[in-house]
Amino acid sequence: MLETLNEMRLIFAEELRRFTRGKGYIILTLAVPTILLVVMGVILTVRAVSPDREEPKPIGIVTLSNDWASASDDLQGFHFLAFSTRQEGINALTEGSVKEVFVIPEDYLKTGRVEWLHGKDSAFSGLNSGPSGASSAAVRAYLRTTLAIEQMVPELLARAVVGATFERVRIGEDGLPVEEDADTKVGTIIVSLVFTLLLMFSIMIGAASLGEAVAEEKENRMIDVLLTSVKPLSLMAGKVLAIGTAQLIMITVWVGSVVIIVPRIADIIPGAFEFPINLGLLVWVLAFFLAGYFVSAVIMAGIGAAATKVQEANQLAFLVVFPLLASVYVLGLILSNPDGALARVLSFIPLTAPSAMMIRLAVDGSSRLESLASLAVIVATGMALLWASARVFRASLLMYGQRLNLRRVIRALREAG
Amino acid sequence: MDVALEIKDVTKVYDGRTVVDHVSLAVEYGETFGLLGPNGSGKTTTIRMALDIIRPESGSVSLLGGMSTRKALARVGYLPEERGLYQKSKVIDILVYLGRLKRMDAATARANAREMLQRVGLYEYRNKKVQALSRGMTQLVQFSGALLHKPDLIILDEPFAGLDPLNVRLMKEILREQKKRGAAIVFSTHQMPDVEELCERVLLINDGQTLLYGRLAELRQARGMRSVRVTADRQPESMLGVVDTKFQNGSFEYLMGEGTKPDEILRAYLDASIPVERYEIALPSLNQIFIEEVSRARNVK
Repeated sequence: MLETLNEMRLIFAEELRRFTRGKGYIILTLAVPTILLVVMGVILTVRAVSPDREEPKPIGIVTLSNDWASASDDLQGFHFLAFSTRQEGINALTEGSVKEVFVIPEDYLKTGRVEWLHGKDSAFSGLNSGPSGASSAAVRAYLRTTLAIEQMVPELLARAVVGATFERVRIGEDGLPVEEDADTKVGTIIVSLVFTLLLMFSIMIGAASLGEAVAEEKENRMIDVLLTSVKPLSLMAGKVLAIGTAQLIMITVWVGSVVIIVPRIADIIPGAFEFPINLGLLVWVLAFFLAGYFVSAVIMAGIGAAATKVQEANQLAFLVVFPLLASVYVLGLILSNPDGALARVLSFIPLTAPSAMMIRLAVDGSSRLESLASLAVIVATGMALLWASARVFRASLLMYGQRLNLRRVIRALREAG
Repeated sequence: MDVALEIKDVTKVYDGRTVVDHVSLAVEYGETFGLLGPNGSGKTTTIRMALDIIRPESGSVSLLGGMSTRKALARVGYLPEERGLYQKSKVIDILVYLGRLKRMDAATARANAREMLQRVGLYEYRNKKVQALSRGMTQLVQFSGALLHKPDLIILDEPFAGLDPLNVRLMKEILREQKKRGAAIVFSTHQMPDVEELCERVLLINDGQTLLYGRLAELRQARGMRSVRVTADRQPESMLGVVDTKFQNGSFEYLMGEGTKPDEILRAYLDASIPVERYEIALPSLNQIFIEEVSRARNVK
């Protein structure tokens, strides 16, 4: 046992070193952080050269009626600057201390007309002869507030003018609110979808290259040298773990760069929002991701072991990719009915279970027991397939130069030691 | 002397076809053993069974005096016929990895790798990737990998194929050093002069069956009485009891038929009053033995 672990460790270290030093791997790993840094750099550059980089300027208000009280200086995200004469407003506009000036004439109560003073036209001003929608809304709110301020408490009035925002609270089966808001839900679904795609990507790149590597070693007979030193099981397990670890490093770099860089980008983009994520579910999603990678990688290694040529291994890779794609095709069905029969069946087929479960977990379509059972099925299948792959590997060597058909594989599983 | 490798009566069958048929051999420490046979005769399969890469249907293999296979394999060096190394890895990294797989610690593996690279003249290529090396250099790297851990048993499948004469000479020198160290060496080849130069004993197989097995000198001696070489200006007009005559390097070589004795050839020259400069009983070359034996086996079938 100790000897097998030592052999696995040696194979693992070498395979990891070789895989992670490949140009393709390094480029892919650094692609996401590089793209994000470039995006951030472009945004920062654009903002640096943009004339509107300063804080938004206040809106000037000139009230020509003495009967009016002043409303709050800040309303709907705008800062208002009051002037007592039209000329003061014009002066502020020409000095650039305000963005625009709204002059409320003495007869405003009768006519409802407000004079809008503005400076240089913007590129798109010809399309609209009035002030911007945001400014209009803010000034209208200011006027409503000002008109009624004598009769009401200013805070109540401000709230009445601005109105309400709606916050969703879901009541669980136990009659208590579920501690999760809408953003968290959306965030978790997005994370699940991203991990499903990452799983597909990892399998297509990592597991496929594993199958290819095994087939290549068989083709160039390096495998003969390795097998005079280590057991087939140690060789298989070491390879699967090494390439899995390399994939995990890649994904950690990607996710890490998103977590670190995206908030920085959000800080400099007005209106950017955050997605809070349910951490408990994230752990489940990660567990299914790893289990999914493991079972797929083992199958790919087995395919590589059975194939006589690299090309053949690549052709057979669809056996793993196809079920994975199938579960993505029925994603809509799982989302609309996460407790349905289809979702449940897919959750217990080792190759479709990881992506099906990741989606179901995100939409609360699976109990903890069911999740554990599904995870156990995937891991147990992976372990059994690892054992079988090592035997197929040995069998394919026994039948050197001959194509392995199903009958021979079954015989090999029975006989090969 | 102790036996490093003993193969007893092994048989291997692929798809109903017997590719190795009851083959036996034993190789002692400090001995160089030649495994000979035409293409597809079962040499590589025999080697792969000796190394536990594949298992025989019947018979047994004993490595290094019956030591457990996994333990024994750590003391075996193997160079397969089809060479393959990781193309994008550095030479030194691959050698250290191969050494580690043979249970060496990293520092010893690195030191031995450097020593071997110096010995084969590739030290300055240690940090180059394998893909930057020529075929011959790659072969020397793989040869170094097989000897890195100072194995007790060295098995080489067609080691000289594709190498230039200088590298062949270098490899032979290193093999002699290994033999002097006490290692048992088994190699398969088609190059009979190499076997005559290096081996004490040989096994010749064809279609998986043993044709010859034993000491090279004894095998040649046993067949040597059938050829006579005579150096003279001319030969007698008639030579009774001779089945084939060749003129080579200024000498006549006669292959005698059944019942003919070597001195009858000399008598024919004397009777014809032809002066004889040199007369010798010619031992057949291994190449001749190989061709004769394999041809005979094929004709029988």
